[in-house]
Amino acid sequence: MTASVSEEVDFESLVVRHQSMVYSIGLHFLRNQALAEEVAQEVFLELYLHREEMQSPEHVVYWLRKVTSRRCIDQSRRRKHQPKVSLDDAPEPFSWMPVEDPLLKQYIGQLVGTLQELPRMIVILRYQEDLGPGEISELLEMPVATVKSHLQRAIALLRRKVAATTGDEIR
Amino acid sequence: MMEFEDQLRGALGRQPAPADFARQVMAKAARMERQRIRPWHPWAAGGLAASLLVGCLGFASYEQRREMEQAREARGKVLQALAITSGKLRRIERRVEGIGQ
Repeated sequence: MTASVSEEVDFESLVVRHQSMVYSIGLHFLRNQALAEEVAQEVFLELYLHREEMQSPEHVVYWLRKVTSRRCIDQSRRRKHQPKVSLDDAPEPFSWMPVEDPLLKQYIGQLVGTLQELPRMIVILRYQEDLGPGEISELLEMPVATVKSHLQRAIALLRRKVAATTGDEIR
Repeated sequence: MMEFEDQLRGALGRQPAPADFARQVMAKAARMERQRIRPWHPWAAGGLAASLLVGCLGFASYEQRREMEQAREARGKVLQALAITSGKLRRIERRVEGIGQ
C-alpha cells in the first residue's frame, strides 16, 4: 500500500518540526555534521516505518529522543568515533566570562564531546532538551540514581576542565 | 551573571538542521516505499520461477515413476490370477476327460 499524499504531508511536517532536535542531539554527541545528518536521517526513516504506531505528538517526541540516543551511542561504538578536541580547533585561552560568549560556548561543546558515551548523552539530554533525571532514565533505560551520578560527575569534570583552562573559579 | 549550567545550556542549544534535510528524508522515504511495493528484483523473480520449474519437473517425474510402479504391480497380479485360473481349468478338463472314458 502506498502512502497517501496527506500521509506524506503529515510526515514531512513531522520531520520539519523535529529535525532540529534530532540533528542537534547527533551533532552535540558525535561532533561531526555529516555523521549527525546521517543518524538523523536514519532516525526519521525508522519513524516513517513506525508512523502508524505513534499515539500522540508527545509519543513522537519521546520516541525520537529514545531512538536518536540509542543510534548515536551505537554509531559511536560501531565506528569507534572518538570526538577529538584538537588544540588547533580550540579557542584561544579566555578568562571566565559570566556572559554569553561564543568562544566559550564552542569550547564547552567540545569538552562535552570528550565525555564518555553515557554521561555525554545524559548531559546533552539534560541541557539541550532540558529533561529531568527521571525522563532521561526512562529514555536510556537505566536507574535514576545512575543518571544523577553520571550527571554530577560529568558537570564536576567539565567545571574542572574549564577552570583549568581559564584559571578562574567556576560557579 | 551566568552560572556554569546556563553556559552549558547555551553551548548545547539546538542547531538548525541542514537546509534540504526534510527534502532528503522525504526522497529516501519515497524510495523505501517503492522498494516495499516491489520487493522482488528481476533476478529474484527469475530464481523463484526456476525453483518452481525444478519443483514441478521433480514432482512430475516422481508421479511418473509411481504410476509405472503401480502398473508393474497390477500386471504381476493379473499374471498370477491368469496362472491360477489356467491351473483350475486344466484340473477341470482332466476330470471331464476321466468321466468321458
